Amino acid sequence: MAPAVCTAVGVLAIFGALNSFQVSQGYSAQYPDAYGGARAEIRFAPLAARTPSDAELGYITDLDPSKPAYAAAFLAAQYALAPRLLIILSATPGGRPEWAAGNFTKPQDYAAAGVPLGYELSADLGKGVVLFHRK
Amino acid sequence: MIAAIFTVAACLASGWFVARTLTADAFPGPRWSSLLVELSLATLFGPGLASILLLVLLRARVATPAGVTTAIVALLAACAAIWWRFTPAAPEAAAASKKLAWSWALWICTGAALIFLLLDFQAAASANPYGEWDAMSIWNLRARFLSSGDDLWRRAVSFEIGGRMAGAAHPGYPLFLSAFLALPWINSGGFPAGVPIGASLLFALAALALLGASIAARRAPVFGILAWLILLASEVFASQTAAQYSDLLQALAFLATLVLLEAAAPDGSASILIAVGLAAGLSAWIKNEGLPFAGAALAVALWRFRLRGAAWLALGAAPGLLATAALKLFLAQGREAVFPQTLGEAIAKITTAGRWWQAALGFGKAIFEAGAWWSHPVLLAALVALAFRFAPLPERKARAWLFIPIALTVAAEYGLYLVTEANLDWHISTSVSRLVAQLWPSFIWLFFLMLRDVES
Repeated sequence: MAPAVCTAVGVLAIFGALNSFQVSQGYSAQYPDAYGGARAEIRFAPLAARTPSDAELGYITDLDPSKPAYAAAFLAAQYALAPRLLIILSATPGGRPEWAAGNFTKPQDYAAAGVPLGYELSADLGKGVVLFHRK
Repeated sequence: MIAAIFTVAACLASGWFVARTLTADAFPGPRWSSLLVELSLATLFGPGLASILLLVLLRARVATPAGVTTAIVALLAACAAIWWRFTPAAPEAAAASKKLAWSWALWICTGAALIFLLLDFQAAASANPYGEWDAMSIWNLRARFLSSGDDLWRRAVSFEIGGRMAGAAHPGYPLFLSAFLALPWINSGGFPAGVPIGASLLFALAALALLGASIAARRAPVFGILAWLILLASEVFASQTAAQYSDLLQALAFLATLVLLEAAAPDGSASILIAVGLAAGLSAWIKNEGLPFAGAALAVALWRFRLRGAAWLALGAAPGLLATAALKLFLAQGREAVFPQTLGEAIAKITTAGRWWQAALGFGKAIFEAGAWWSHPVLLAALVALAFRFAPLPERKARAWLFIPIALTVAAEYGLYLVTEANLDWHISTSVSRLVAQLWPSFIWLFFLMLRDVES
């Protein structure tokens, strides 16, 4: 019996592995760059080029912190900008870094977004990425 | 990129020298199986020791390309010298184990399933070259900080990391994977995405190879091939190969410790006990889940091998445990947001019956989803048990002690769900399948340990 059962295990395992591949292929086709890392690398490259690698950067966005998209956008931006450190401004009442990174989902008055946090627009770098400077 | 490849290759070569020295006569099966065991252990030992070395270089402010290259070459030379000095003469060739006439069919099936695993990996890695969520927000991000020179490495252990968001800020997470990735990044002067992609595949293949090869070497080649087939059919494993997480590395360390513990019994030699300690210590240096495992594995080893083995176990465990302790006690800032702040809070959560049920349901669901129902690994294991039968009860009882480290790790992981400060639904849904992936190769290995000998 062992040869037949083991061969059956082998054949089923092939189809199991094939099934995993098909699931993965389908997911990959449906959600390329699912976590936004590749997009963030491209979007934030101009900002990275304008700030020193050891900079701490405030983080300004139009996303609602209570929504899941907020954390995803923040983490993708942080990854793209590392080793620069992104600091959520509301979480650090004590100090404001000299520079801040703006990460916006739609065109708007970017300068106005920085004002309440004490920043002025330094450069609109396109694709919703903005460099702010402390006032 | 050549500098990155050289760094990784030197780490792996260092690991092979250590693995070969410590396990020279412990895996008496066919040479292909003992060689695969050595290479798999090398993938744990070499990168593990190199990652700890980086911590020393960072503290000494010499983690520059020249400093890293010098240190890695010195590590390689030291490991080669240990191999040269201490590797025993090659043992007598083991008696040829019974070769089954139909095992060629299983080899073909394994090859085909492996090809699908690699295609799966390729599809996922192409779509998400920066890995999945935690790769970007934790493991690879910290590697970028560690490889950026000066004092920027401290950002990898800062409470500011992840914007202080619960679930994203883990300053005390162990640094094995991140520090290992940082080594080739330092030497290549950038962050080539190929490094974490390659490391992810490397650790997955090492866990796979160790599972089948160790069983082939210690039990029977046909069991080893069947173990490979069951793991290759496990979606819970395949789905993690391209994630660039620490979970399959953790799976490798768990399995390595168990394999070495079994090989050490009943009268462990000094070298194999050092290997047990090294694997257990490095388990703690990979993820927090490795801490209870390392404690349990070392306690079990002390119980089995008595005090005469304590010094060798301690010698082996020292690098991983000391690095973990240094990180948690002196380097990491802040605390894990998921742990309760007071004992009362923890007790209140533990006494909520619904949480027990919710956590059990989470584990059950993850195991149910470990593969398609018609090729589910549990179904395949049942078929194998039908063909070969379980070993007699006294034999199984004699091997049951090897379940203890894994059982205690499951209990610790379950306990964390009971007390977590995070939303329990969220915590379970985002982590339970990875916890199962960590344990899956060990479960399969333990299953094959319980089977009757092929010859009987």
